[in-house]
Amino acid sequence: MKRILIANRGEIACRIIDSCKKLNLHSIAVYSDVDRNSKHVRKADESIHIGGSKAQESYLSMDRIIDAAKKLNVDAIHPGYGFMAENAEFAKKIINSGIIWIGPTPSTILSMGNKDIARELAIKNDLPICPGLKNDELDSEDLEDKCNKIGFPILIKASAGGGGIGMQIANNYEQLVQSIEKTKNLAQKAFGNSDIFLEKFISNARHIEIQVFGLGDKKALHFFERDCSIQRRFQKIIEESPAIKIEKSIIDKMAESAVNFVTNQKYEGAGTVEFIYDIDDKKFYFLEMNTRIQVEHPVTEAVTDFDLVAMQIKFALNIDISSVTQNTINKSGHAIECRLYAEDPTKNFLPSPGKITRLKIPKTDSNNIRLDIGVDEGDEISFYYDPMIAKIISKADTRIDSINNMIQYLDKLEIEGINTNKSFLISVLQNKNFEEAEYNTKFIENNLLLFTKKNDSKIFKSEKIIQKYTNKDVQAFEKIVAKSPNDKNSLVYTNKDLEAFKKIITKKENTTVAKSLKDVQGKVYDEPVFKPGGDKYMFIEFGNLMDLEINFTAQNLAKAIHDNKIKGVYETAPCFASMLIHYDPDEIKFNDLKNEMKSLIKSLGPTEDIEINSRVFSFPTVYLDKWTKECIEDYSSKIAKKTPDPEFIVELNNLKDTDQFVRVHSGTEYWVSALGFWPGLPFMMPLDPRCKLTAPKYNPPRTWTPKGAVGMGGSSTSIYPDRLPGGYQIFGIIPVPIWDTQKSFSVFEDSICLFKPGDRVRFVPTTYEEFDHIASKVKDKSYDYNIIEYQKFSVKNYKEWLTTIDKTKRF
Amino acid sequence: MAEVIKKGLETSVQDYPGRIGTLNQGFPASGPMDSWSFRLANILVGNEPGEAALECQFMGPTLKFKSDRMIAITGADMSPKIDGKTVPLWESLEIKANQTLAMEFATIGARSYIAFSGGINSKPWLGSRSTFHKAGVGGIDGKAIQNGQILPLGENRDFVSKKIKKNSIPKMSNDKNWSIEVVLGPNDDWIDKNGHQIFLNTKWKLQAKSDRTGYRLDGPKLSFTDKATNKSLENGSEPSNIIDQGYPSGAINLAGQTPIILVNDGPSMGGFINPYTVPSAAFWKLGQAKPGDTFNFTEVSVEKAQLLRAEQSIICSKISLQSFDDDKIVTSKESIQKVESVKIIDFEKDELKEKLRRKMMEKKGMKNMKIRFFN
Repeated sequence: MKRILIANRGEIACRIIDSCKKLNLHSIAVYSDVDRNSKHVRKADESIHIGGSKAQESYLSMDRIIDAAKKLNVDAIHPGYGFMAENAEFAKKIINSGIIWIGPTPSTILSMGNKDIARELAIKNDLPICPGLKNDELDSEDLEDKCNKIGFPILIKASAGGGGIGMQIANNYEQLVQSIEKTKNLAQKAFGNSDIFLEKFISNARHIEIQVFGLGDKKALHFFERDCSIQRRFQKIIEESPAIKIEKSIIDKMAESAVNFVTNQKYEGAGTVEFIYDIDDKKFYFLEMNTRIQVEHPVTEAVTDFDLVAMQIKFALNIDISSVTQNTINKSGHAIECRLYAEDPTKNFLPSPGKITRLKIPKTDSNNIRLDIGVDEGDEISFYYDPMIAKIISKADTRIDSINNMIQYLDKLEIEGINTNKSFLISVLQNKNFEEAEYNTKFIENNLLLFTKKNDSKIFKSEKIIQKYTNKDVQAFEKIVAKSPNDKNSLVYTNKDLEAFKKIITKKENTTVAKSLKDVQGKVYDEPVFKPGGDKYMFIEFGNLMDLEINFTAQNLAKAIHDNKIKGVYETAPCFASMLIHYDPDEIKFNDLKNEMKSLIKSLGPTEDIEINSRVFSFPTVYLDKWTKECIEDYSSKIAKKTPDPEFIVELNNLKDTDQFVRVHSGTEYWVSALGFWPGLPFMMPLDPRCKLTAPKYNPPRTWTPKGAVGMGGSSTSIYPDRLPGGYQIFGIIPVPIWDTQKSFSVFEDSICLFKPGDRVRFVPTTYEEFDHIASKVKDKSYDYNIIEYQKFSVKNYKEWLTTIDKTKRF
Repeated sequence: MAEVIKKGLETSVQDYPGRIGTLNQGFPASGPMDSWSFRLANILVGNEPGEAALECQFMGPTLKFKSDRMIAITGADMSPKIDGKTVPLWESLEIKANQTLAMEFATIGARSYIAFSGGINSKPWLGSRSTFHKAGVGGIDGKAIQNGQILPLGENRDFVSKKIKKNSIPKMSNDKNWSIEVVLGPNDDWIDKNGHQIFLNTKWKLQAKSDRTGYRLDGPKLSFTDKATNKSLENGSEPSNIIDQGYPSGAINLAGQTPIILVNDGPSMGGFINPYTVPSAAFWKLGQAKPGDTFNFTEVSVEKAQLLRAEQSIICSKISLQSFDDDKIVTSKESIQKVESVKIIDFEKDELKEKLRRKMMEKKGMKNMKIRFFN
């Protein structure tokens, strides 16, 4: 059995695995840290970890992939699309390692990847090229004549640029002369190279491409055309085949020239020749050639009934495909593909990563709908990679049926937890002009408001949107913008978009500045203070400091109230230095209750003599983790700008750095003084005074906190049992649940809350790897809580211990 | 049994007084926001005042009944209709098998209550059927009711139709402003005199970001006493920070400078101060206020608050029922029980504070006082 490694992830990896299974080949997935449990890994026969979550450390790391391939004795590597699918160096390295590269030869990849070489080759092969002028042709005397020959409007572009950067359109010669100057200056500033070129600007165009399959020395095959005109920001979102409202003779001509072009290059395997079609002039021009299997290949598979990926693999493995000839390739019906992205169409199509909390896939006739998807419910769309969730391919006898099936399917598809372009796609599909194929490549751009406006038509089910943008988004966006010029596969955003985006998340400048605190000492009051809380609560305050003894008093009083069955008291909630009593005013009046409490407190006796059973919990904790960091950035960008919490605490407590902070915070046991705020949330204080830190609470509070986050406010430390609002400074995370309504673990048998007052907690710093390991154990319910049961604990012993340490020393 | 055809905006099972006894584990009591209307609905169908019924928020549900059932609708007016025919609030309604009750958006008030004779028979969770949405517990599956669900109802009780006496129906605000009672404390001594004046003289606007957890208010900033600004490290450094403490239900929690009224599903503990507490007798107004409405707060003593509560309990009993026959008052000869008036006792506040308070009250009566309004 041959072994195929798929150097990709997500939907395309899953799709390739499917073909491998069909061909009875052994499939091997590669994965990064965040993808540990992702769908392609679950699906493959075998999988191997190749590195960190950043693509550079995993899917873009040639050496790691090739090492993995060698280690697992792989026969061939399929690169999918994106990542390294068109990286000639990667292909070369693979071939040099004696592994089969499923794709065209490195030299073909190289020549097609270079715009100028590709253009030269196209001219040599009589492919029509969009008329234009190169930089060195601009100085000639007859520039005006040349331009008139091309025909206005003319596009002026920076040679070094890409996408929209430094692009100008001139409608006449006068404008052209001005624009050339402007663009040269801009190009010099932006790219350090003032070279520009001119090109005929086709304002009313469609994007048509021909799927080809090169057979090396033999004549190449073609699988007809795809129309990919529906694009947003140069990224296709809806593709279809056949391309309607274009004469058959023109399509045939395109296909023929594409086949000639690739045959002459002895091209090997699947590829796509892209054309721009001028609707007004009915002319087409060569755009570029892609040497990979493309995202939208299923459209072609649907109308021709061929498995292109299987063909790629067979061809590479030298399995006979001679039964496939041009005559056997026929198309029938009409297919449409929609790309479902985790993005927000109303916010410039910005990626919207997050956890898919709900995914309901409608049941349909598989002859009509094909779903290529790389995630399951509960999976995350990560920020690290392309935010495409799935491709939906609808096929029917007629185009209109195909559209309607697609609309119905999308409408029934339920996806929650992230923003998606689902409604946007539906609006486009429902548009009359789309239905009549009255569109060009600017269709989305020109009708954006129409498609993004809140659609109140009944057929839309409301989508739960909890997406928020953070500074991380801005940074990512900045990267995309910076990357755009030279990377032909990246999304094309410009600095203007970046500015627009920054505006979206305009923030209040309410900087919280760390200021050193005055050292005021709290004290235990001589007499407790009694205060009312409305008509049925009493608040008793024993002092204004946090110490073990005072908490013992509060806990003891709660116990005494319970044991003595005080009339009219419903319940109590002791906290650090105070207690709340919920009482029935029909049963007992405030002053009577107060008197009862006074005498009860007197009867409690010294706390020192009490010895209690105290459990010790140890939690693996990732300090300074990415999740709390992301949350802080989100707050800082949207609510109030603030110094990141760990640095803030370092500054405020005169620590050296965050490393010292982690040492100090994790250097003590914490005493669970109370549960409150949320079921099972512990309020804890450090038992070792050398580890006592302090921090203010957020102002205003956060609207969300990651589940399992460890934080502190005042000198109290806590763990957030769930995704909750909150006010503590946060800096770490634990992978273990501390409350569980399902009682999935034996520790929750007695109560759905893990802790009881009097428990102790240790935070043990750990790595992401260990964290993931434990998280996966928690997921399959095999985790064993690390608890030391029933350690005796008394204030007396504690006080004795305190005398043995030098409290002035920090860790 | 009744089937949920349309769930409404957030329709949940609640009982009164809710989940009592688990405060020390961090559970709020939950229960109906407007327990006045809630209890009246129950007594109209022969139930105990606290039995489980539905709370409908902003937009009510559509329910199809499988069998005959006596029901009653109280609280906000959501234009209830049975098989298309408008039915009144505050009266027992005989609904027949296969009839459909449909409700719309609230025109007056914010929350309606639907009581079913025999109550809702969902599984109690920690002693109560009340839904605590945020934690996903109580009610039916821990959530608001869903389309297609069958509401498990108790046995229909034999009860003669009644209506609520006019004087027993809570009076909704007709100018979008509500006067809400507050009791000072527990942390009233953290706000200075000026701060208290500002608080009691402001029309606070209810933010849209308000739910059964908390009601956020828009308004001016308050000022603090030395207790708030000069305190030990454990409290946290912001003036509104305090060593974590228990939160009473109804507490007006000052988080930074945003007052948040902690209501039925509010947190039980935390590290911000609560200078005032809304007593339980005023909760019904919170339940019926809509975002954008304004509140002004009136200080009352603990004793006054308790008196109001006792009065409300009496109103929420069979005393308020009236028969249809002769419009005569039903119930026993005892007629209305007089509530024993409660002696007002001073709290052990030091004299200075008492003086401050009196001064403040005097000032409240003064004319030409600067009041800030917020839109």
